[in-house]
Amino acid sequence: MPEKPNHNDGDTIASAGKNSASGSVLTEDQALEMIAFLTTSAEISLQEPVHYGTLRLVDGASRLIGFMLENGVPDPDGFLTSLKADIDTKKLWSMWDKPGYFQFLRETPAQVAGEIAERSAAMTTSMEGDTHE
Amino acid sequence: MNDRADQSLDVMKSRRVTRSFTTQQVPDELLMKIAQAGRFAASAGNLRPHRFIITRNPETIKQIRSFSPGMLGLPQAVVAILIDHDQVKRDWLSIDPSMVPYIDVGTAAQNMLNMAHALELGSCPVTSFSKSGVGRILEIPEHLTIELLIILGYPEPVDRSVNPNAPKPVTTRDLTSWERFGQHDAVEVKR
Repeated sequence: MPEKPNHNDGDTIASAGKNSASGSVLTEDQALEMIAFLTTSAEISLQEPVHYGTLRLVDGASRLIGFMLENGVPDPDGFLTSLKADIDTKKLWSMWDKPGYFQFLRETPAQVAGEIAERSAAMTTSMEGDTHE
Repeated sequence: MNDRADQSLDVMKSRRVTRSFTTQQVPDELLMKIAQAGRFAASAGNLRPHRFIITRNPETIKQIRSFSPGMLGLPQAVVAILIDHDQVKRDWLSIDPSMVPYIDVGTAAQNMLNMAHALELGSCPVTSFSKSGVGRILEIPEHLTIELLIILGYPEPVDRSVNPNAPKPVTTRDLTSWERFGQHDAVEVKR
């Protein structure tokens, strides 16, 4: 009988990629909480106003960041902390300031992209520093 | 108007949805008062097809929250309002499906929200949850469905200053007509 693949590294569901040596992004409980949140969001989106779907997605991102910070994922420039605070404030705009909320949705991916680019550049620099001849 | 009417209107007018709660526990006596407020809500045919489940266990609340994307804060208590469909089938013999039991959920909920506010608690009605997910956590029998969650706790202070882009508030006049639809000002009538 083929051995069942082990997708679970201890109680860690997802590791932090290049930061995996410093800890995990999600514990198993947190990952299950996210799975519950995401599957429920999919179910209730069948009967809710369409723009609520966007609210669930950004709220999911906020919850994910919350878990990451709880687990000590590095946030040297405070980007994750600030993004979470921004989402938690502006997601509520969906109820009384839709244009402002939609603008926030349009702007956020560019900020995330900027952070990824910065982290990637920092990683490249750090790897170059490790090189020796 | 008498004092009681003024006080009641003041409770209704000053109640707001609360989404952030402190970690202070809500005493059971207050939760019981809130359940009583639900029990004394108007109910069609005096049928009272609703049931209430009060949860204070933080672990259970955390699990409910996982299946309730509409629950943005972390409350100290949750009241679930359910409909007993067996009772509705038995006691409310309508030919077409009736919305009446759902209206009764609404009347109970509003009484509970007002009572919570009168007790200086924050509250928020939540409909964005998975009935199957939360039903499983609360071990709901098949003939019952959870229709609404009310989350409760002591409110965290929040900035309620008006957003400049907020739409103009709806007034009572906007919603109310006198004698015929669209007549927003009271006119003299022979009585």
